Amino acid sequence: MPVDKLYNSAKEALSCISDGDVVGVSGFEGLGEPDSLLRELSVMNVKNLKLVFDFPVTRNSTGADVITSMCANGKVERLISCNVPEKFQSSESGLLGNCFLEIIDRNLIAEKLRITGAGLAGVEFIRPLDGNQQLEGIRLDVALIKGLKSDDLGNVIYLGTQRNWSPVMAMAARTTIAEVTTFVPAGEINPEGIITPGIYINRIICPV
Amino acid sequence: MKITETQQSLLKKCSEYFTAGKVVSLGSGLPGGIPFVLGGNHTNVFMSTSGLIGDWSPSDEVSSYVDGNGDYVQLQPGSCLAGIGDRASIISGGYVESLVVQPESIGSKGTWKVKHFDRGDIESLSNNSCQIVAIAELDSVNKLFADVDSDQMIKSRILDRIVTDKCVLMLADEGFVIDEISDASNLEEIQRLVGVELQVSKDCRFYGDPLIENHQHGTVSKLYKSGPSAVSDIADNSVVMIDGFAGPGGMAHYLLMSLRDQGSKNLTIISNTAGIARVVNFGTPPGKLVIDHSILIDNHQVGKAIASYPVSPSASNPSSFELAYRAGEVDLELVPQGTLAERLRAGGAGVKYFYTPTGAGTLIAEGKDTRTLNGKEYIQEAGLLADYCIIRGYKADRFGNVVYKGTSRNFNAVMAPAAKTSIVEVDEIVEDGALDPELIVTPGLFVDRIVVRPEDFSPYE
Repeated sequence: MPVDKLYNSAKEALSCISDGDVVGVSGFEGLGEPDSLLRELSVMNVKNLKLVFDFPVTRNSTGADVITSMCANGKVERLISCNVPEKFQSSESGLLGNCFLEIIDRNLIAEKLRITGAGLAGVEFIRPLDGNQQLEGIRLDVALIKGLKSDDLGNVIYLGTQRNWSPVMAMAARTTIAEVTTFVPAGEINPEGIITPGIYINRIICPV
Repeated sequence: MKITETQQSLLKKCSEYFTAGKVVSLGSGLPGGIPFVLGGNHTNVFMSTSGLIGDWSPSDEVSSYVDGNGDYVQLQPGSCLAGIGDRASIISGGYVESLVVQPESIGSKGTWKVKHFDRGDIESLSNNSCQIVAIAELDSVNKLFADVDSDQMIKSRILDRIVTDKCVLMLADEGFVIDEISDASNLEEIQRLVGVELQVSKDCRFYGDPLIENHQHGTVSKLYKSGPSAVSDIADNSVVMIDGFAGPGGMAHYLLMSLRDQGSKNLTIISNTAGIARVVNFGTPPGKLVIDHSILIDNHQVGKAIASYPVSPSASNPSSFELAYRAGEVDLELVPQGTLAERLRAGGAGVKYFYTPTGAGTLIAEGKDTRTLNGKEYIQEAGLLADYCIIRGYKADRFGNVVYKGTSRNFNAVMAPAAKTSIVEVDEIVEDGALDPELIVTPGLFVDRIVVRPEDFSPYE
């Protein structure tokens, strides 16, 4: 009997998050963001999280931006991103509210997640201009990803550019929670089309 | 995005600097308009920061595909998708020929400032094999060359040229020089708009003339008429990756036979096995032998094999490779299977070394650097590259996008990016758009030659 991965609510699915966790959040330009999980995270009783993402734009029910509200109320202490929307830049360099903002080049974040996902200690890139570059992995405690469809075994497929960060974050996280639009019985998804095998997915929610 | 007439001609001029058939990565802002402005009248493969690969046109309705600026688009046939991880590997693997960026400001000595978003691509692509083109409208910038000098500037000599609506500037030793100038402007006006004194290059051209006549049209076809024609230039001493897992299936038998008939010598073959399907002969009709790497070894073409499972499962039934190895005719580099797959992936992604726990503390670790992380030992392994790979796909389109069938995907997918020339054998070539973009496993940018396996071809001899 496969482990039951489907959870009834974002709240129950997020029960695995602890204070101080490193949490990856998928999404790019508003596509592929796990909205329900993010909104629930922003009201959870948790603190000192470190988020890794491409600056999601999800807003909560009061219209406030989820990420800035989490920074303001102490839930998040560190943001790791490649992208700093102008409106979030504060006068003190590197600080966003009480949070520390760490900027890492986009391709390097992707590679660091992949390093962890592949079980490696690090890689070395050839860089003609400034000498070789050594990279170590970023380990995520939890990844919150968005997919189109999932099945009983946790296999996930995506739609179009919704894919973006999800596959690589799912590999790099101890616990991956997928928010999907449709949930189907095992066997319905074409095996050739599965982008994220169920071995990487631990919890699924399918909000109505 | 709304594109003015001035911007349209600017973007078209910029596209004249792309090499036919090559991959062009588009930065945020105005570069995103290039696919729209060209309207399919080109042979390039565009790549967006959102993970689109191929070509696309604006979409009035909400669609599942957004470009790097967040605008909805519809994909043109032959396009496919990449996660951000795959996109990073395409960049680090050296597959991008041009990067187009819209800078916020440019320093007169070649330093410049861009959105955070584009920094990573510029730093990754700042090597000799990629040209970096900046685009800027002269009229809308008071001073193109601002006197910017902060730690947000990128080191000089990375930018190759600046394309504006009235001139093209090229970076030379003395700074920027004007290489093309429009008859709607003159040297004084350009110098006033740009903000610094500029030289005019000796070979300065008229902006209106296309760079090379019709250079965008006609690209070399990837379709080869036969196996022999696809392997004819493989020279002695080449490094050739050969696909397959172990059994008779999922192998490019037709290309293997063609390589045997072609006869090139002292090849280094990289593969999971060194030919064991033939001794196992699983599913083979009685009296026949299945084609595998053994045909190359029997024909004295192989100098060395890099493999994870080089000998047959039965000591009393040795493979051609094992006999040749015992006779001292071939060398062997033994690599654990997962490490082999990762070495291939690393090669294709421009990774020189990686650190894996596999083999730490064993014979495999001999002679290799080690490192310890969180109390666990890792050994250093190197990325693998090859001159050629011969792989088996199921279906391909003329762009080289490939899908596989079942477990025949095996090592095929990871070999294509790691070989300089990738040769794929498929059952059929389908028409443009017939392959679902979501299902394409190997984007065509990795594939150089496609051959259709003849209908009456038998993998047995």
